[in-house]
Amino acid sequence: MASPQTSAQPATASRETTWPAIIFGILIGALMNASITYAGLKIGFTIGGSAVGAILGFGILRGLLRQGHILEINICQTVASAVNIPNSGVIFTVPVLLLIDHERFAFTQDGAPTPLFWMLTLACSAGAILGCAFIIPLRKQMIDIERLRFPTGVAVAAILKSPGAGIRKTYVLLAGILLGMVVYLPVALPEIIKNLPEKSTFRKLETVAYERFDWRLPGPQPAAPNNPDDAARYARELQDVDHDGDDEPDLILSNDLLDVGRWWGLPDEIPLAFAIAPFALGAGYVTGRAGLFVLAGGVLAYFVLNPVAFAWGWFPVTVEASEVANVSRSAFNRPLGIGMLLGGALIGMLASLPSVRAAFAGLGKASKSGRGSDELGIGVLVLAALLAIAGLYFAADYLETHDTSNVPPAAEAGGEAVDAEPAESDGWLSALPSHWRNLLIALIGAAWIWFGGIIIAQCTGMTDWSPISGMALLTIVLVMLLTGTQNVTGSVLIGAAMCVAITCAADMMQDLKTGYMVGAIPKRQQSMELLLTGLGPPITMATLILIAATNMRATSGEPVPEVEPRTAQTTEEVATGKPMGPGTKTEAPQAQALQAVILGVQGGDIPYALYGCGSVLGVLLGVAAFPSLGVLIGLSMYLPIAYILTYGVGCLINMFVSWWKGARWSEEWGVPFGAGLIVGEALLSLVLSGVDQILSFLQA
Amino acid sequence: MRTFGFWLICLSAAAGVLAAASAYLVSLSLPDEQLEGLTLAAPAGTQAALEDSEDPPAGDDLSQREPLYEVGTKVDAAMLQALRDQSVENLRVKEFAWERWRGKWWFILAAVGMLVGARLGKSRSPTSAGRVQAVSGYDPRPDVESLENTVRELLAKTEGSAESIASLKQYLLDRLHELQSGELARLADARGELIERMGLSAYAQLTESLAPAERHINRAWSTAADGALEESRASLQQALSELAATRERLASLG
Repeated sequence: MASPQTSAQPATASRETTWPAIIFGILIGALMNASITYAGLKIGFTIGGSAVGAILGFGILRGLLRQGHILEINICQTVASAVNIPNSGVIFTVPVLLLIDHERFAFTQDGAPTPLFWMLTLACSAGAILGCAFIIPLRKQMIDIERLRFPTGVAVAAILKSPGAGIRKTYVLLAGILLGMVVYLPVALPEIIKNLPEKSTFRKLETVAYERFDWRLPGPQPAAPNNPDDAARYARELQDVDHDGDDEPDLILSNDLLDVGRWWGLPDEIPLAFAIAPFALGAGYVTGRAGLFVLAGGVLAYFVLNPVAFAWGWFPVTVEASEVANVSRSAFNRPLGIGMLLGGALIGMLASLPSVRAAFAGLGKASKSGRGSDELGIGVLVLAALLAIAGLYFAADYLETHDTSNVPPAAEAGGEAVDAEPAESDGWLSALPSHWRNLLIALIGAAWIWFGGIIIAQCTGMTDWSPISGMALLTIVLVMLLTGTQNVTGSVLIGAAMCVAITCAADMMQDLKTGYMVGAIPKRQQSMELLLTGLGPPITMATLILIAATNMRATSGEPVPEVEPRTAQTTEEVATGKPMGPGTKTEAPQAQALQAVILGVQGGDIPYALYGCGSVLGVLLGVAAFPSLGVLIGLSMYLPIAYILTYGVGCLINMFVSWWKGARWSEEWGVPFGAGLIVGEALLSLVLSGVDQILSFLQA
Repeated sequence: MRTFGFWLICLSAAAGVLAAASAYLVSLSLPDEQLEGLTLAAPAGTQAALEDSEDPPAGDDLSQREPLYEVGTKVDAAMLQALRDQSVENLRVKEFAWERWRGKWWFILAAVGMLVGARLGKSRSPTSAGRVQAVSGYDPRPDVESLENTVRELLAKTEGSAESIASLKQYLLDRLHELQSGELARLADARGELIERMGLSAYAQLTESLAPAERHINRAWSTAADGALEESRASLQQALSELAATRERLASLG
């Protein structure tokens, strides 16, 4: 038996930035990036990689290699999430080009990627670096001064701290993870099962689960018709409770939804339904009382605005009550919400100016002193930002000068049905020479990235929700207005770079919050993110192309290299498969939404007044109550209400536990459990999407 | 009065959102000349006559779901007549005009309501995260001094101690956790109150040393959890100097 050590000398030196942490971080990040890209193209939203990175980091560094200190695993998860996160920005924007004009986007005649592919990759990598460089100076303001919550950052810190937090807390965390996985399994598993071959043994699982052990609850059945005259009454009542048209009442409890409104007999235009989403519940719990403002925004939009508008006949007569939530989201909830978000962010930034000034002053002081600063210096950040802007400019300029064939108006390019004639119009900067215009767009893009990055980081910090899809739509619209509505490719290029940038900004701040809670040195995390985040976009783009090629083979039987590129002179359809979108396994719902917006812009359909009114309301809410209120309310006005309600339940549970057991108990024991719920869902999603991806490729 | 102000803000926000949502809605009661030439932003009318739809036939009657006019159609006199015949009251169009906006006065009223509500609720002081501080008359100095004393004590205890690493590590973890959930948590919770009292700029200056102190304490905990006690001590040493700076800042701020 070894004698006990009897001095305070360290048993081991603490490790932080080590090669194993960096290498495993890159590997884990690349794996997550590919898996999540695939999942995001299927389901329309992505999964943050930090928590999974932390768990896998523990598994590999601590479990297999018998090393891995808390700070070292923090670096591992920082690197993993830096490599993973750019996928959100890419998959919300770039696939729209595949939907509109895929032959030109993907491959040349000899099967090699096109220049557009490479320029998009370069622009997205530049965006990732720009997002990190711009948000780093605001770390002090958001984390030290504002003390934003960043629920997922807190959750990751709970995982990292588990080795020292005691066995009981680890059990609580594991219980949360397990419960999150169990609850989320019925949501995620059917997605995989339905992709399996008909004769697969696993396919029978679904039948067994639903026929023998059906946990789902059907809604109330209308009384059967007693006579032929009663048939019309029965048909009407059945129509009210059967929206999916299977001649059965819809379910109250399905795989992914608990429809309390249906259970209580509420009118269909009031969608009181809770998503079965452990992530949302956990995030709500970790956010606590402040999250109620997000709930308030959802209630305002879905329980006040939409039902009143429906009752007052503001919807087309062909819109049914059950469709009100979806129709209103695109008709007015989304533009109003985005406007409110912008107004709220603007007033929030003005109110925060003193703290931003103090944060910059602190950085400047540290840079001047030149020694021992814990933050990355301003000089490095400026250099990185300039290089990234130059990359962005080069990509935009190269595309315009070497690839002059504009994407034809989406209506002609096989897009969704367009009701208006596309109205090509010059952009605000069209009169400028192309080099100067591209330079100006790169600079405006950089400024927008700074603003957008702050908005997204604030939203994520306060609520854990990231309004990336809304910001992506707004960004593309902005660039199309600047460059001209026919310039879809250029707009998507700049828009994709901006979207990647703002997602990276939010993710970086989240990782820095985790780092703060475990005592990491910010400079080390910042350096890692800045150096390695540029790796993410190439991985996402390569995955995207691989998925597109697989889909094309699966839907046409034609090998990809034989695909003929379409020139600008001809819009004749070539006999190829579909790379993405409806009819393929990756429907890319966000790209479809973006395509609809692009078509709208080309048809001159931009609801400026709604954005404007929303901005005014966002500013007024900031003035009337507190600066970020517009952000919180606006954010939830266009997110699916089922997730907002589940999130709100999490907030209420936190308040109840705090009242019952005390705030400290709630923080000590409730937060690890909430963190477990967040991690459980993310982990299961990742594993299942990886399995799904492998099965799909094997089938193809 | 504050409660009244709060409810006024809520009601005004709801009214403002409703008024805004009507920005592109035009009433068919307007004269034809104001409507002709506009472009539909949403479908209008239905293929089936509305008066026949009270008793829907069994099965799906697709004509009821088929709009009479699709998005993008230009409004003309014939369309207006057909829609009025179907008792359609509103159209959603792509063009906005101030004079056609029926909710404009409600929107202005809502804006005024929010400003009045803000005036009435001025004594309320929520933090940026919307939390009203329960701590009243909080003085941060005792907590900062207590942090300083505890950190000094931990440094003394771990220097050349004869205790085993395991017991020292557990001792450090327990004491640091007490600091994190005690003094540091209280200082964090009092943020809103401190900002109200000192102003945001002064608070930001305070965090110049307070935040690094907290981070170093967190680092001391993490490194202690990994058994790297020497590094944990180094972090405590840095925390101590930051805490001293915080104490001095607090003294200078009064």
